[in-house]
Amino acid sequence: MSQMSYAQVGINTTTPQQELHVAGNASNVKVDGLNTTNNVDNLGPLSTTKVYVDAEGDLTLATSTRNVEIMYDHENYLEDVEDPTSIIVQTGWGFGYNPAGIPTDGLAAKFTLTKPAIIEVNYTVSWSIYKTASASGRIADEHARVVQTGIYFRQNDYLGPAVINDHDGNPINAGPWCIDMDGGGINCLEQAGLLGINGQFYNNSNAKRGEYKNFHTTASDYVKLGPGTYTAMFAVQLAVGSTVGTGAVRMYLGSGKDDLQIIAHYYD
Amino acid sequence: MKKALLIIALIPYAIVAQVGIGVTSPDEELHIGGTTSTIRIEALNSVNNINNDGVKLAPVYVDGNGDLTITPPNGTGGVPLNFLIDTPNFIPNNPQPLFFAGHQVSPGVVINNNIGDTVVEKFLQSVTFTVPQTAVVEVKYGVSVIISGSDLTIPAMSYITDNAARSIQTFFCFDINNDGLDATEKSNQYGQKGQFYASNFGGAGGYPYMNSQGYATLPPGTHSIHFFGVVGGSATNFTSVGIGGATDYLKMRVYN
Repeated sequence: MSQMSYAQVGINTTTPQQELHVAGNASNVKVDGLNTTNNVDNLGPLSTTKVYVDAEGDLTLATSTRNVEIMYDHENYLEDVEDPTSIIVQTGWGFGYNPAGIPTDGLAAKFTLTKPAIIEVNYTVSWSIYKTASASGRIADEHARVVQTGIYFRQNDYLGPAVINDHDGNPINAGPWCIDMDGGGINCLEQAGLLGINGQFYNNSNAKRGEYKNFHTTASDYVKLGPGTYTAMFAVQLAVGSTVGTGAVRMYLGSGKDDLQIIAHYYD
Repeated sequence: MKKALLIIALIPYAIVAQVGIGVTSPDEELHIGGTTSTIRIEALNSVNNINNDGVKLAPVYVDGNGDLTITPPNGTGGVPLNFLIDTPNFIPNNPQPLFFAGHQVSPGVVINNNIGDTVVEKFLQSVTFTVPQTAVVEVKYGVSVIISGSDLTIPAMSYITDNAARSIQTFFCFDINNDGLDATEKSNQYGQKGQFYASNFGGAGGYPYMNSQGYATLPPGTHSIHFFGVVGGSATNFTSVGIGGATDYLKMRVYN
């Protein structure tokens, strides 16, 4: 016969407690229609595969979907150059960020979201700081300086427009933030949503022996982004209480190793 | 001996060692043969179970008895938790009628390390939030700092130029059920961050940031997160530190 009907069925038990009760300490149920031979959504013998029920209550498999995904991972995100693309000009009070650094991957340094996600940003970015490239060119004025870094996104590649709002339409981190202040500290040339802001102090009194390179700033932050293609970029400020008597001070972003990870946590 | 149950009678139940449906040599206690075979469980369909919306596939779990279920872990809320609590600028800026180096100073919460003090700790701000189910709460925060050799509460500001190092720390604690931060809760300090400041000339202006993170597993309920600041320095020096005077950020990702 091809059909049967029981009130309850017990396998290895005379007192079934559910409609189908499979007893035994090592008991199991095998469904050939869900195995790797018959079902393309089975991930194979080296993995387990999540099981679902559909609207009818039928057990089924589905194309594996991830709740978390690393969208971008680079161990040296910014080009290791000290040139106009990476330079930061010292300001007085600390009124201005400026963009700095070009991704090592250039226009390909981007990731694409196909659905909204909580994006986790983890970065470590390198910097060097000095007055001249000579043997005695370190900053030695004993002024405490603030080196502050943040990250923002551009749409599509690193030349695209800056992202200001999150997926819910709210300005990122209560922005918009000025990421490109003009030299006078008055006019903002570009705004964005700044994330993972962190700072540290630099001070030195020995023009020949003070360390001037291989410093790193590290931060982590979250933002909700919608579907689209994005590229992460950095904004930086180098501030000192007074620039009087300090001379020209240079800071370069990305001159050493920079680590960047963009992780998507899908919430829907 | 393996048996194949292929011929049926209407009895309340059957007991056999192994059962095959569509297969004559079952490999498990219950073996459903056929290349497109499956099992239908009507109690899990969209008509009978609120966790099946009839549109998206519902993941299947087993409960403590081994019964198949589509009730997600950690409760009956429908879906596992995964959301972000975003509290921008969570420490009030506290703007003051104080201009220094051409800029208005907003000190936030001021911690004064007076002459005679070596370490001074102060509560900064608390934020209340709700966790619907037992969940991991991951906190990421950034707070701004401003440093002065004059008392910012007056308000007054000056650069510190004595070349003596100061330390600045921040951390947070959780008040479970938001019923007051008790001694045990206060002792569990998360997201410690510290840095030092020293200057001989000029001093630093602006608002450097302190950035850190921490995790905790919290029960369902309304809780609060409490932030603290600590300023350390020599007993012979005065230090005034304002925390939160610029735009701070607090993100809490809640998931299970």
